[in-house]
Amino acid sequence: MNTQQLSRALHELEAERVPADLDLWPRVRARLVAQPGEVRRGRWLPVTRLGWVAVALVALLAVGATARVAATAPVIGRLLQLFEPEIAHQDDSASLGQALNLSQAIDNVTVAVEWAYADAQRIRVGYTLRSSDGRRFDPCHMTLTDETGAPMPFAMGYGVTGEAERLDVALPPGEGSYVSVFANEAQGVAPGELLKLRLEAEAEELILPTPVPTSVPAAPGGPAANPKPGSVLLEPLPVGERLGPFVFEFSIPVAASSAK
Amino acid sequence: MDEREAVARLKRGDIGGLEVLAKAHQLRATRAADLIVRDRSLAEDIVAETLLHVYQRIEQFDASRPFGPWFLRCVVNAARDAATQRERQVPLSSEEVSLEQVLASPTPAPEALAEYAELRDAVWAALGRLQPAQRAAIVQRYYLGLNEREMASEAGCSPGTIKWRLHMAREHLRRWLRPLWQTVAVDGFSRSEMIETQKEVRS
Repeated sequence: MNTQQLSRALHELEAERVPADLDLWPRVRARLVAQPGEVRRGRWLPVTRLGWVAVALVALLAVGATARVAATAPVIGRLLQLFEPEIAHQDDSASLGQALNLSQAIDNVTVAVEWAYADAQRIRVGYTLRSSDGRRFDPCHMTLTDETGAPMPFAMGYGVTGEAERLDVALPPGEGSYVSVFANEAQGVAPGELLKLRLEAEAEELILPTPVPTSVPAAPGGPAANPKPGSVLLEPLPVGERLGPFVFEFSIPVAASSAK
Repeated sequence: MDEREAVARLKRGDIGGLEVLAKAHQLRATRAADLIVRDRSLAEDIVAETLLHVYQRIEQFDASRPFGPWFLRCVVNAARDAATQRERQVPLSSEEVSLEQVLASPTPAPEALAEYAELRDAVWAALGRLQPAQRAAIVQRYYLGLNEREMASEAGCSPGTIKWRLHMAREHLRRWLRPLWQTVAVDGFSRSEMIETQKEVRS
Protein backbone atom coordinates (compact mmCIF):
# COMPACT_ATOMS: atom_id res chain seq x y z
CA MET A 1 0.00 0.00 0.00
CA ASN A 2 1.32 3.41 -0.89
CA THR A 3 0.07 6.95 -0.71
CA GLN A 4 -1.71 6.67 -4.02
CA GLN A 5 -3.60 3.66 -2.78
CA LEU A 6 -4.41 5.47 0.44
CA SER A 7 -5.69 8.44 -1.49
CA ARG A 8 -7.72 6.16 -3.74
CA ALA A 9 -9.16 4.31 -0.77
CA LEU A 10 -10.22 7.59 0.84
CA HIS A 11 -11.96 8.72 -2.32
CA GLU A 12 -13.68 5.40 -2.80
CA LEU A 13 -14.83 5.36 0.80
CA GLU A 14 -16.37 8.77 0.53
CA ALA A 15 -17.94 8.05 -2.83
CA GLU A 16 -19.80 5.26 -1.07
CA ARG A 17 -20.60 7.15 2.11
CA VAL A 18 -21.68 10.52 0.72
CA PRO A 19 -23.61 10.41 -2.55
CA ALA A 20 -22.72 12.80 -5.32
CA ASP A 21 -26.21 14.28 -5.39
CA LEU A 22 -25.85 15.67 -1.88
CA ASP A 23 -27.56 19.06 -1.61
CA LEU A 24 -27.28 20.98 1.62
CA TRP A 25 -28.54 24.22 0.15
CA PRO A 26 -32.25 23.76 1.04
CA ARG A 27 -31.26 23.26 4.65
CA VAL A 28 -28.99 26.31 4.66
CA ARG A 29 -31.54 28.42 2.86
CA ALA A 30 -34.23 27.42 5.32
CA ARG A 31 -32.04 28.63 8.16
CA LEU A 32 -31.40 31.90 6.37
CA VAL A 33 -35.08 32.41 5.71
CA ALA A 34 -36.17 31.44 9.19
CA GLN A 35 -33.72 33.68 10.99
CA PRO A 36 -32.35 36.22 8.56
CA GLY A 37 -31.46 38.75 11.20
CA GLU A 38 -30.17 36.16 13.58
CA VAL A 39 -27.89 34.82 10.92
CA ARG A 40 -26.62 38.12 9.76
CA ARG A 41 -26.63 41.09 11.99
CA GLY A 42 -24.57 44.20 12.02
CA ARG A 43 -24.56 45.14 8.38
CA TRP A 44 -26.70 48.10 9.16
CA LEU A 45 -24.08 50.54 10.20
CA PRO A 46 -25.20 53.95 11.34
CA VAL A 47 -23.79 56.43 8.86
CA THR A 48 -26.19 59.28 9.27
CA ARG A 49 -24.27 62.51 9.29
CA LEU A 50 -25.37 65.68 10.84
CA GLY A 51 -25.71 68.52 8.49
CA TRP A 52 -28.16 70.22 6.42
CA VAL A 53 -31.29 71.47 7.96
CA ALA A 54 -34.20 70.93 5.69
CA VAL A 55 -37.57 69.48 5.76
CA ALA A 56 -38.43 65.93 6.32
CA LEU A 57 -39.96 64.69 3.19
CA VAL A 58 -42.37 61.91 3.47
CA ALA A 59 -43.84 61.32 0.16
CA LEU A 60 -45.94 58.98 -1.77
CA LEU A 61 -44.71 59.67 -5.21
CA ALA A 62 -47.14 58.80 -7.91
CA VAL A 63 -44.53 58.47 -10.57
CA GLY A 64 -43.30 55.20 -9.42
CA ALA A 65 -40.76 56.54 -7.14
CA THR A 66 -41.50 56.25 -3.61
CA ALA A 67 -40.45 56.94 -0.23
CA ARG A 68 -37.04 57.44 0.96
CA VAL A 69 -35.61 55.12 3.47
CA ALA A 70 -32.48 55.85 5.22
CA ALA A 71 -29.49 54.00 4.06
CA THR A 72 -28.88 52.90 7.52
CA ALA A 73 -30.61 50.48 9.80
CA PRO A 74 -31.58 52.99 12.41
CA VAL A 75 -33.27 55.16 9.82
CA ILE A 76 -34.93 52.24 8.10
CA GLY A 77 -36.06 50.94 11.43
CA ARG A 78 -37.51 54.29 12.34
CA LEU A 79 -39.24 54.63 9.02
CA LEU A 80 -40.76 51.20 9.40
CA GLN A 81 -41.89 51.97 12.90
CA LEU A 82 -43.49 55.18 11.75
CA PHE A 83 -45.14 53.98 8.58
CA GLU A 84 -45.53 50.25 8.93
CA PRO A 85 -45.41 49.51 12.61
CA GLU A 86 -46.87 46.07 12.05
CA ILE A 87 -43.61 45.17 10.35
CA ALA A 88 -41.40 46.90 12.83
CA HIS A 89 -43.18 45.11 15.63
CA GLN A 90 -42.94 41.76 13.98
CA ASP A 91 -39.29 41.72 14.78
CA ASP A 92 -36.71 44.34 15.35
CA SER A 93 -36.36 46.12 12.06
CA ALA A 94 -32.72 45.30 11.50
CA SER A 95 -33.37 41.62 11.66
CA LEU A 96 -36.30 41.70 9.31
CA GLY A 97 -35.62 40.98 5.69
CA GLN A 98 -32.39 40.78 3.85
CA ALA A 99 -29.53 43.21 4.30
CA LEU A 100 -28.04 44.09 0.92
CA ASN A 101 -25.18 46.28 -0.10
CA LEU A 102 -25.70 46.88 -3.79
CA SER A 103 -24.66 50.22 -5.13
CA GLN A 104 -24.24 51.84 -8.49
CA ALA A 105 -22.87 55.26 -9.31
CA ILE A 106 -23.58 57.32 -12.38
CA ASP A 107 -21.74 60.60 -12.57
CA ASN A 108 -21.95 62.05 -9.09
CA VAL A 109 -25.03 60.17 -7.95
CA THR A 110 -24.93 56.85 -6.14
CA VAL A 111 -27.94 54.67 -5.61
CA ALA A 112 -27.53 51.99 -2.98
CA VAL A 113 -30.04 49.20 -2.40
CA GLU A 114 -29.48 48.26 1.19
CA TRP A 115 -32.39 46.22 2.37
CA ALA A 116 -35.20 44.14 0.96
CA TYR A 117 -37.95 42.00 2.34
CA ALA A 118 -40.48 39.78 0.63
CA ASP A 119 -43.41 37.81 1.84
CA ALA A 120 -46.33 36.31 -0.01
CA GLN A 121 -48.08 39.68 -0.37
CA ARG A 122 -45.52 42.43 -0.54
CA ILE A 123 -41.96 43.21 -1.51
CA ARG A 124 -40.21 46.08 0.22
CA VAL A 125 -36.99 47.60 -0.99
CA GLY A 126 -34.96 50.07 1.04
CA TYR A 127 -32.47 52.25 -0.78
CA THR A 128 -30.55 55.47 -0.62
CA LEU A 129 -29.75 58.16 -3.14
CA ARG A 130 -26.69 60.23 -2.51
CA SER A 131 -25.08 62.95 -4.60
CA SER A 132 -21.51 63.94 -4.07
CA ASP A 133 -22.15 67.63 -4.69
CA GLY A 134 -25.11 68.07 -2.40
CA ARG A 135 -27.69 68.38 -5.14
CA ARG A 136 -30.89 66.60 -4.36
CA PHE A 137 -31.97 63.73 -6.56
CA ASP A 138 -35.19 61.82 -6.16
CA PRO A 139 -35.99 58.38 -7.50
CA CYS A 140 -38.27 58.10 -10.48
CA HIS A 141 -39.40 55.61 -13.08
CA MET A 142 -38.80 52.75 -10.72
CA THR A 143 -39.70 49.26 -11.84
CA LEU A 144 -39.32 45.96 -10.08
CA THR A 145 -39.54 42.75 -12.07
CA ASP A 146 -39.05 39.10 -11.27
CA GLU A 147 -36.81 36.77 -13.21
CA THR A 148 -39.47 36.23 -15.85
CA GLY A 149 -39.69 39.95 -16.44
CA ALA A 150 -43.12 40.25 -14.85
CA PRO A 151 -43.53 43.64 -13.18
CA MET A 152 -44.39 43.89 -9.51
CA PRO A 153 -47.01 46.63 -9.16
CA PHE A 154 -45.93 49.59 -7.11
CA ALA A 155 -48.04 49.94 -3.99
CA MET A 156 -46.61 52.78 -1.97
CA GLY A 157 -43.47 54.30 -0.63
CA TYR A 158 -42.06 56.53 2.04
CA GLY A 159 -38.80 58.10 2.95
CA VAL A 160 -36.85 60.99 4.34
CA THR A 161 -34.37 63.65 3.29
CA GLY A 162 -32.72 66.28 5.39
CA GLU A 163 -33.77 66.47 8.97
CA ALA A 164 -36.82 64.81 10.41
CA GLU A 165 -37.60 65.46 14.01
CA ARG A 166 -40.17 62.72 14.25
CA LEU A 167 -37.64 60.22 13.06
CA ASP A 168 -34.73 61.78 14.92
CA VAL A 169 -32.81 61.74 11.68
CA ALA A 170 -30.57 64.33 10.06
CA LEU A 171 -29.18 63.46 6.68
CA PRO A 172 -26.60 65.56 4.86
CA PRO A 173 -27.36 67.56 1.74
CA GLY A 174 -27.90 65.42 -1.30
CA GLU A 175 -28.83 62.30 0.62
CA GLY A 176 -32.15 60.61 1.07
CA SER A 177 -33.39 57.23 2.07
CA TYR A 178 -36.50 55.49 0.84
CA VAL A 179 -38.62 52.38 1.06
CA SER A 180 -40.68 51.29 -1.91
CA VAL A 181 -43.42 48.73 -1.47
CA PHE A 182 -44.58 46.52 -4.31
CA ALA A 183 -47.20 43.83 -4.59
CA ASN A 184 -45.62 40.42 -4.80
CA GLU A 185 -47.09 38.95 -7.94
CA ALA A 186 -44.23 36.62 -8.70
CA GLN A 187 -45.54 33.28 -9.82
CA GLY A 188 -44.31 29.99 -8.54
CA VAL A 189 -42.08 31.26 -5.75
CA ALA A 190 -43.16 29.61 -2.54
CA PRO A 191 -42.25 30.77 0.94
CA GLY A 192 -38.73 29.74 1.72
CA GLU A 193 -37.63 29.96 -1.88
CA LEU A 194 -35.46 32.61 -3.41
CA LEU A 195 -37.14 35.39 -5.29
CA LYS A 196 -34.90 36.81 -7.98
CA LEU A 197 -35.60 40.44 -8.64
CA ARG A 198 -34.44 43.23 -10.91
CA LEU A 199 -34.86 46.81 -9.83
CA GLU A 200 -34.50 49.66 -12.26
CA ALA A 201 -34.74 53.29 -11.31
CA GLU A 202 -33.71 56.70 -12.47
CA ALA A 203 -32.64 59.62 -10.39
CA GLU A 204 -33.99 63.04 -11.18
CA GLU A 205 -32.58 66.22 -9.80
CA LEU A 206 -35.08 68.23 -7.84
CA ILE A 207 -34.67 71.97 -8.25
CA LEU A 208 -36.93 73.89 -5.97
CA PRO A 209 -38.19 77.14 -7.53
CA THR A 210 -36.95 80.34 -6.04
CA PRO A 211 -39.85 82.12 -4.35
CA VAL A 212 -40.99 85.23 -6.17
CA PRO A 213 -41.59 87.76 -3.42
CA THR A 214 -43.38 90.44 -5.31
CA SER A 215 -45.62 90.93 -8.26
CA VAL A 216 -44.11 92.02 -11.51
CA PRO A 217 -44.79 95.67 -12.29
CA ALA A 218 -46.23 96.69 -15.58
CA ALA A 219 -43.78 98.20 -18.01
CA PRO A 220 -44.31 101.97 -18.39
CA GLY A 221 -46.18 102.74 -21.53
CA GLY A 222 -46.37 99.16 -22.60
CA PRO A 223 -48.75 96.30 -22.15
CA ALA A 224 -49.16 95.12 -18.69
CA ALA A 225 -46.78 92.30 -17.91
CA ASN A 226 -48.95 91.49 -15.00
CA PRO A 227 -52.54 91.98 -16.01
CA LYS A 228 -53.98 91.82 -12.55
CA PRO A 229 -52.50 93.95 -9.86
CA GLY A 230 -51.22 91.92 -6.93
CA SER A 231 -50.86 88.68 -8.84
CA VAL A 232 -47.57 86.82 -9.06
CA LEU A 233 -45.85 85.80 -12.22
CA LEU A 234 -44.85 82.17 -11.97
CA GLU A 235 -41.86 80.85 -13.76
CA PRO A 236 -42.01 77.33 -15.15
CA LEU A 237 -40.40 74.80 -12.89
CA PRO A 238 -36.82 74.18 -13.85
CA VAL A 239 -36.06 70.73 -15.15
CA GLY A 240 -33.31 68.95 -13.31
CA GLU A 241 -30.79 66.50 -14.56
CA ARG A 242 -31.93 62.92 -14.94
CA LEU A 243 -29.57 60.00 -14.54
CA GLY A 244 -29.96 56.32 -15.04
CA PRO A 245 -31.21 53.78 -15.27
CA PHE A 246 -29.63 52.30 -12.19
CA VAL A 247 -30.05 48.55 -12.38
CA PHE A 248 -29.84 46.05 -9.56
CA GLU A 249 -30.32 42.33 -9.54
CA PHE A 250 -30.64 40.46 -6.29
CA SER A 251 -32.24 37.45 -4.68
CA ILE A 252 -34.15 37.43 -1.44
CA PRO A 253 -35.94 34.64 0.35
CA VAL A 254 -39.70 34.84 0.58
CA ALA A 255 -40.63 34.87 4.23
CA ALA A 256 -43.07 32.28 5.34
CA SER A 257 -45.01 34.70 7.48
CA SER A 258 -46.75 37.62 5.97
CA ALA A 259 -45.93 41.00 7.41
CA LYS A 260 -49.14 42.34 5.95
CA MET B 1 -21.84 33.14 -12.33
CA ASP B 2 -18.24 32.30 -11.51
CA GLU B 3 -16.90 31.94 -8.00
CA ARG B 4 -15.44 35.42 -7.81
CA GLU B 5 -18.74 36.95 -8.84
CA ALA B 6 -20.52 34.72 -6.35
CA VAL B 7 -18.28 35.99 -3.56
CA ALA B 8 -18.86 39.56 -4.66
CA ARG B 9 -22.59 39.04 -4.63
CA LEU B 10 -22.46 37.40 -1.25
CA LYS B 11 -20.46 40.29 0.12
CA ARG B 12 -23.28 42.52 -1.06
CA GLY B 13 -25.72 40.40 0.91
CA ASP B 14 -27.15 38.39 -1.97
CA ILE B 15 -27.60 34.84 -0.76
CA GLY B 16 -27.79 33.73 -4.37
CA GLY B 17 -24.02 34.04 -4.23
CA LEU B 18 -23.91 31.69 -1.28
CA GLU B 19 -25.99 29.17 -3.17
CA VAL B 20 -23.46 29.09 -5.98
CA LEU B 21 -20.59 28.62 -3.54
CA ALA B 22 -22.44 25.96 -1.57
CA LYS B 23 -23.20 23.91 -4.63
CA ALA B 24 -19.62 24.17 -5.82
CA HIS B 25 -18.00 22.99 -2.59
CA GLN B 26 -20.53 21.14 -0.45
CA LEU B 27 -19.80 17.64 -1.69
CA ARG B 28 -16.03 17.74 -1.27
CA ALA B 29 -16.38 19.51 2.04
CA THR B 30 -18.90 17.01 3.39
CA ARG B 31 -16.79 14.07 2.33
CA ALA B 32 -13.71 15.56 3.95
CA ALA B 33 -15.63 16.26 7.13
CA ASP B 34 -17.06 12.76 7.13
CA LEU B 35 -13.58 11.26 6.96
CA ILE B 36 -12.67 13.27 10.04
CA VAL B 37 -15.81 12.96 12.16
CA ARG B 38 -16.83 9.54 10.76
CA ASP B 39 -20.49 10.42 10.88
CA ARG B 40 -22.22 11.55 7.74
CA SER B 41 -25.05 13.33 9.50
CA LEU B 42 -22.62 15.25 11.68
CA ALA B 43 -20.49 16.03 8.64
CA GLU B 44 -23.50 17.52 6.86
CA ASP B 45 -24.32 19.59 9.93
CA ILE B 46 -20.77 20.87 10.05
CA VAL B 47 -20.78 21.92 6.41
CA ALA B 48 -24.20 23.56 6.71
CA GLU B 49 -23.10 25.46 9.80
CA THR B 50 -19.90 26.49 8.08
CA LEU B 51 -21.91 27.88 5.17
CA LEU B 52 -23.94 29.94 7.62
CA HIS B 53 -20.72 31.05 9.23
CA VAL B 54 -19.45 32.07 5.81
CA TYR B 55 -22.59 34.11 5.29
CA GLN B 56 -22.03 35.91 8.57
CA ARG B 57 -18.32 36.48 8.11
CA ILE B 58 -17.91 36.96 4.40
CA GLU B 59 -16.78 40.53 4.97
CA GLN B 60 -13.65 39.11 6.54
CA PHE B 61 -12.81 37.07 3.46
CA ASP B 62 -10.20 38.51 1.14
CA ALA B 63 -11.94 38.32 -2.23
CA SER B 64 -8.63 38.29 -4.07
CA ARG B 65 -8.00 34.77 -2.76
CA PRO B 66 -9.75 31.62 -3.93
CA PHE B 67 -12.80 30.76 -1.89
CA GLY B 68 -12.53 26.98 -1.93
CA PRO B 69 -9.40 26.51 0.20
CA TRP B 70 -10.63 29.00 2.77
CA PHE B 71 -13.97 27.27 3.02
CA LEU B 72 -12.43 23.81 3.22
CA ARG B 73 -10.07 24.99 5.94
CA CYS B 74 -13.06 26.20 7.95
CA VAL B 75 -14.79 22.85 7.44
CA VAL B 76 -11.72 20.80 8.34
CA ASN B 77 -11.10 22.86 11.47
CA ALA B 78 -14.72 22.51 12.54
CA ALA B 79 -14.67 18.78 11.84
CA ARG B 80 -11.45 18.32 13.76
CA ASP B 81 -12.88 20.17 16.76
CA ALA B 82 -16.10 18.17 16.58
CA ALA B 83 -14.19 14.91 16.37
CA THR B 84 -12.02 15.86 19.32
CA GLN B 85 -15.03 16.72 21.40
CA ARG B 86 -16.91 13.61 20.41
CA GLU B 87 -14.04 11.22 20.96
CA ARG B 88 -13.50 12.56 24.44
CA GLN B 89 -16.96 11.32 25.19
CA VAL B 90 -17.25 8.22 23.05
CA PRO B 91 -14.30 5.82 22.98
CA LEU B 92 -13.68 4.18 19.66
CA SER B 93 -13.36 0.68 20.99
CA SER B 94 -15.95 -0.65 18.62
CA GLU B 95 -13.95 0.64 15.67
CA GLU B 96 -10.78 -0.91 17.05
CA VAL B 97 -12.53 -4.25 17.12
CA SER B 98 -13.60 -3.62 13.60
CA LEU B 99 -10.04 -3.01 12.55
CA GLU B 100 -8.84 -6.22 14.15
CA GLN B 101 -11.61 -8.11 12.47
CA VAL B 102 -10.78 -6.63 9.12
CA LEU B 103 -7.10 -7.38 9.43
CA ALA B 104 -7.75 -10.91 10.62
CA SER B 105 -9.72 -11.76 7.54
CA PRO B 106 -8.03 -13.38 4.57
CA THR B 107 -6.82 -10.82 2.09
CA PRO B 108 -5.89 -11.05 -1.55
CA ALA B 109 -2.56 -10.06 -3.02
CA PRO B 110 -1.44 -6.50 -2.20
CA GLU B 111 -1.49 -5.33 -5.82
CA ALA B 112 -5.15 -6.10 -6.01
CA LEU B 113 -6.12 -4.89 -2.57
CA ALA B 114 -7.24 -1.45 -3.66
CA GLU B 115 -9.88 -3.11 -5.75
CA TYR B 116 -11.52 -4.66 -2.73
CA ALA B 117 -13.71 -3.41 0.01
CA GLU B 118 -11.50 -5.01 2.65
CA LEU B 119 -8.79 -2.47 2.09
CA ARG B 120 -11.19 0.41 2.33
CA ASP B 121 -12.68 -1.05 5.47
CA ALA B 122 -9.24 -1.42 6.99
CA VAL B 123 -8.25 2.13 6.04
CA TRP B 124 -11.50 3.41 7.49
CA ALA B 125 -10.99 1.55 10.72
CA ALA B 126 -7.36 2.62 10.97
CA LEU B 127 -8.29 6.23 10.39
CA GLY B 128 -10.64 5.96 13.30
CA ARG B 129 -7.76 5.10 15.57
CA LEU B 130 -5.85 8.24 14.73
CA GLN B 131 -6.14 11.33 16.84
CA PRO B 132 -8.48 13.85 15.20
CA ALA B 133 -5.65 16.24 14.37
CA GLN B 134 -3.68 13.46 12.71
CA ARG B 135 -6.77 12.27 10.88
CA ALA B 136 -7.44 15.79 9.66
CA ALA B 137 -3.86 15.99 8.41
CA ILE B 138 -4.25 12.74 6.49
CA VAL B 139 -7.49 13.97 4.98
CA GLN B 140 -5.98 17.28 3.95
CA ARG B 141 -2.93 15.62 2.43
CA TYR B 142 -4.37 12.51 0.82
CA TYR B 143 -7.99 13.38 0.22
CA LEU B 144 -7.98 17.11 -0.42
CA GLY B 145 -4.54 16.97 -2.01
CA LEU B 146 -2.96 19.86 -0.14
CA ASN B 147 0.80 19.95 0.09
CA GLU B 148 2.53 20.44 3.40
CA ARG B 149 3.19 24.11 2.85
CA GLU B 150 -0.46 24.73 2.09
CA MET B 151 -1.47 22.71 5.11
CA ALA B 152 0.85 24.71 7.33
CA SER B 153 -0.46 27.93 5.90
CA GLU B 154 -4.05 26.84 6.37
CA ALA B 155 -3.45 25.60 9.89
CA GLY B 156 -1.40 28.62 10.90
CA CYS B 157 1.46 26.49 12.17
CA SER B 158 4.98 25.73 11.03
CA PRO B 159 5.66 23.27 8.21
CA GLY B 160 7.66 21.21 10.66
CA THR B 161 4.59 20.68 12.80
CA ILE B 162 2.64 19.49 9.79
CA LYS B 163 5.47 17.21 8.67
CA TRP B 164 5.68 15.67 12.09
CA ARG B 165 1.93 15.25 12.38
CA LEU B 166 1.77 13.59 8.99
CA HIS B 167 4.76 11.43 9.75
CA MET B 168 3.21 10.16 12.97
CA ALA B 169 -0.12 9.57 11.29
CA ARG B 170 1.49 7.59 8.49
CA GLU B 171 3.55 5.61 10.97
CA HIS B 172 0.41 4.63 12.84
CA LEU B 173 -1.39 3.69 9.67
CA ARG B 174 1.57 1.70 8.46
CA ARG B 175 1.77 -0.20 11.70
CA TRP B 176 -1.92 -0.89 11.91
CA LEU B 177 -2.25 -1.79 8.28
CA ARG B 178 0.98 -3.78 8.14
CA PRO B 179 -0.82 -7.04 7.36
CA LEU B 180 -2.12 -5.47 4.22
CA TRP B 181 1.27 -4.62 2.82
CA GLN B 182 3.57 -6.89 4.67
CA THR B 183 4.72 -8.37 1.42
CA VAL B 184 5.44 -4.93 0.03
CA ALA B 185 8.80 -4.45 1.59
CA VAL B 186 9.64 -1.30 -0.28
CA ASP B 187 6.87 1.05 -1.10
CA GLY B 188 6.68 4.74 -1.63
CA PHE B 189 4.63 5.27 1.45
CA SER B 190 6.33 3.14 4.03
CA ARG B 191 9.96 3.60 3.29
CA SER B 192 11.18 6.24 0.90
CA GLU B 193 8.61 8.81 1.89
CA MET B 194 9.13 8.14 5.56
CA ILE B 195 12.89 8.60 5.23
CA GLU B 196 12.36 11.79 3.31
CA THR B 197 9.96 13.06 5.93
CA GLN B 198 12.34 12.24 8.72
CA LYS B 199 15.09 14.19 6.97
CA GLU B 200 12.80 17.15 6.55
CA VAL B 201 11.71 17.02 10.14
CA ARG B 202 15.30 16.87 11.37
CA SER B 203 16.26 19.79 9.15
